[in-house]
Amino acid sequence: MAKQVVPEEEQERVFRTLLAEPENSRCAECAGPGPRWASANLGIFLCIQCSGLHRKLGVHVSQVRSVNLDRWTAEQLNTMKRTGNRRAAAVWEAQLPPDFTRPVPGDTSRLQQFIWNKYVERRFYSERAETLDQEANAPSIEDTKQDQDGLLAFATPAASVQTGTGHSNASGPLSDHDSWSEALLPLYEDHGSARAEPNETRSVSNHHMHLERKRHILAMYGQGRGSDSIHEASDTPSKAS
Amino acid sequence: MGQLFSRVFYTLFGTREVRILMLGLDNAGKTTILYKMIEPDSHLKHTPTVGFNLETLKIQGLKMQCWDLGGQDSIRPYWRSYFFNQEAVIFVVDSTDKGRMSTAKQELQAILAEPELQNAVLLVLANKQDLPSAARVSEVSERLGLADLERTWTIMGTSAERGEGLQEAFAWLAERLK
Repeated sequence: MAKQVVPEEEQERVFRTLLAEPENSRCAECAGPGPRWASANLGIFLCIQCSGLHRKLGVHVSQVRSVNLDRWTAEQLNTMKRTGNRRAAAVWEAQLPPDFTRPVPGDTSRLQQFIWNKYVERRFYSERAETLDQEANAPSIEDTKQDQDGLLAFATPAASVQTGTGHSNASGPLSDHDSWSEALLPLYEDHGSARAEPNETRSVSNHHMHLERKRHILAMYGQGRGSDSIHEASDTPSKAS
Repeated sequence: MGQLFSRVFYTLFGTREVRILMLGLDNAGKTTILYKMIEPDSHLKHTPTVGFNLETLKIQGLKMQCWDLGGQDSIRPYWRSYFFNQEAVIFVVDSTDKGRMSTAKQELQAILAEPELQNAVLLVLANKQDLPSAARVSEVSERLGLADLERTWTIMGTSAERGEGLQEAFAWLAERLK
């Protein structure tokens, strides 16, 4: 049996709240209005056309679910709460070229290329944005008792900053395999092994690949600074603390 | 009885028409398979099916009326509205989605327990075989518990994206239904 799904009313309530956020009122890919689909592992909301393009990526990259036609597990809903379109864009679109123009709804071939570049090729991805995101919001994850609190905290990350300012803390990105990196680095996550059959060796090797990937990305971006959005994100905690 | 009569009738007088259900979890590839059968050169980008698609294929002189039903969680309970008078079920599985193989098994078992489908031929398609992470056909078969089935069935590997294995699969079905 698949993992336990949350009660329908609970699911509806969560999505009503999340979709009311301006960041989630448009498709994460084409910016078309009123998304009703989502990638349960990437934590983003999509229109039905872009959900079709996401399905082509394969479930190891993106697991598409309907907001209202599918039943969600608590874990999947948590990913949606923790991520959302703004936060996901900060990571997956951190390195968009300055002259980038977003493909419009209906421009399927460009959208398909964009989505491929974004999640499979990881052309615009920034590890640093992810790390900063983790630090900026770590305290609010602990506070699981009320979803509303969590959502508010995410909407204004600066307000919830309790930790230090740097992106070079001791348990840096290379040593830390926590829920944040799982939510934001889903490419090597084995979503299946947790269920039917325990598969220790596999998850260990995934973890290893995950770290390798991180090292690789850090090496790639090591010499240069990230995009403006990263600077902005890294400035915020300093001001707050 | 009705099916027997129609078989005899069409054997004697013309093209027989059969009803076939295409079922499986969302994102298994049902719609892609159906339209790849109709237009082999197509590279359609399929959005999730909300509702169903209905197309008729002509294979080996047999008219196959294919009902491709949406696979999303809350659509699945409506599958049963289409069970009446179906002669075959094509159950499509995403071979790469190992995390949901047990869910697929449950859905398949529920379908096969339906009285209306007791005589239906079962064709399981282990789809997406072109992807490196795909489970082998034998593994899919085992995970779905097909070996225990007491009916006419088979499992075949397909790649709807590349159009591989589809002709063979539908030919097998046509053979059984003629």
